[in-house]
Order: sequence, then C-alpha cells, then structure tokens
Amino acid sequence: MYDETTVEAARDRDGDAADERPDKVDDILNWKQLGYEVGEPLAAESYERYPDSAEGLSAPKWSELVERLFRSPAVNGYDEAVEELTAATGDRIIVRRWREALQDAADAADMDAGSMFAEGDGSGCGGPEAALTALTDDLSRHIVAEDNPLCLAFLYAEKGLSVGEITEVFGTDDSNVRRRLHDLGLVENRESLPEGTAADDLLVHPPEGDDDIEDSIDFATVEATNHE
Amino acid sequence: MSNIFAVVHRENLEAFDRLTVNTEYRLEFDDGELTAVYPENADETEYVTAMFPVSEGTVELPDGAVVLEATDTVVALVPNAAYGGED
Repeated sequence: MYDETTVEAARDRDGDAADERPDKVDDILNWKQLGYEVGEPLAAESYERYPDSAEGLSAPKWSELVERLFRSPAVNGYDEAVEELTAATGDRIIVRRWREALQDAADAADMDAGSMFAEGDGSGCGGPEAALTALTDDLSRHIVAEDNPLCLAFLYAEKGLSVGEITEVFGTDDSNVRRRLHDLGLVENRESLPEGTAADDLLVHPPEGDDDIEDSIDFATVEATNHE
Repeated sequence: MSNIFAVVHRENLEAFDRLTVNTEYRLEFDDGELTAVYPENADETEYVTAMFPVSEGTVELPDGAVVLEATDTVVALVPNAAYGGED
C-alpha cells in the first residue's frame, strides 16, 4: 500500500519518470545509453565534450572523463568504453586504436581499470533483463511480471520509472503498461490512452461509499480483481 | 676540460610514448624524431607525448608542457605528474 502523497505524486507525473528518484535507478537504467550519440552520454554533459580522436586522449584533461567512463555501470570493460566513445565500432583498426588509447590513458593516470569496471554491478550492460532484475531486487521473483499490478506499481510509484522505461525493461507494449497503471489509479490522464480504448472500462470503480480507495491501494484486492 | 652530455634519441614518437629527458638545453623534433642533448648530470623529468587540437587559434596546455610541433595539432611533452599519476 502507498500513502496518499505517493499516489498523488505518481498521478501528477502521468507516466513520466519521477524527478527525484534514487541515483541507483538512473545507474541501472543507463544500460540503454551505451553507445556514441545514443541517449545521454555516460561520461560528460554532452557528446561535444568527448575527445575527437583516440590520439586526443593523450591530453591529461581527459583523465577525468576516462575515469567516469570506466566507473559507469554501463561499462564493464574496454569494449563498452570504446563503444561509448566512437560510432566506428565496425572498423577493427579504429576500435583497436581507441582501445589502446584508453589503456594508455589509464596507465598514464595510474588507474586500476579492472577495479573501476568491476564497480558496475553488471546491471548497466546486461540489457533490459538485467536492469529489471536489479530494479526488482526487493520483490519476490514470482511477482515480477509485466501483468502483475504490484510489480508495475512498485516500478512506477516507488522506483520512479516512467511508463516508457517500464515498457523497455519488460520489452512489452507501452499501452498495456499505461492501461494497467491506469487501472491502479496511478496514471491520471485518460487522453493519453491509446486510440480506441474504452477509457471507462479501464477505470477501477470504487465500491459504494468508499471514496478513499484511490488514496491507498490494497494490492491484494487489485491483484485479485484485475486479472485479464 | 670537457663535459659529458646525454644524447637521447627517439624515432616514431607517438601519443602516449613516454621518455625521461631534460628539455632545457638542446631539443630537436622533426617528423616524429626527437633528439635531446643535455649535461649528463642535469635534472630529468618523465614526460608523456600528447596531442592537443588547436581551436580558433589557441591551444590549452598543462603546466610544464614542452611544445615539439604545432600545426593543426600541437605535439607536446607533458610531465607525467599532470596526469595525476605517480611521478
């Protein structure tokens, strides 16, 4: 059960990610950002602040960027680090050049690259399945499913994931996630439901005389009545 | 009376190559080939060869850097200490 504040905050987001959620959640979701100019950069504010060339990494100012890159949960080795710095991952010569430059940059700064790579808990590079496992570590395995209301509510209301992020970690359909969260009263905006949806059918109608049901969700009840 | 000088010669100098030399006496660099000549008892510093892009007519170099070549990229010897590693 969640208190009124949590439920209202979840509704206000209307499917977006929570502004203030644990850094750990962002770290876990970083898996989708690995790759040059894919999503947000892992090691700088923008890709414009990445080195232009492998040789350019020889300038000491890049040591901090290399360290941030190595410590990123999405990077567990040199292969991932190279993938984040250059789009030319299909060119073996270029990849080798970047890899050697990263190794040299780490040596120059006396970095223990191996231990930095190990700082990532693996959730960053294992794709959506590993991300989901890390995000639902507090839940029993048997309730971790895209059609389980408790699991969806946990990811949305407690972990602060957006509908889109939940969709990605489950590899499922966005409209199903939104509809199930709507059933729980955690997503308010009916206009954002997929076309053709009978919105009234998606509402959980509180029992007569119980106006406060949406303020505190009894998941045992929801789970029992909401199976499709 | 005579003095003994160290002569350090390196060819094909590339990014990240390390060398320990004194750069205050005679230092020549041409097409990747470096020669440093200095009194044998002169202080030496460990350097890392680094490349710096020139942007809008300027280049940002760390303290103690010694410029070897400047075209659209500056090739310089940078004291190893600038990398935050051990001297």
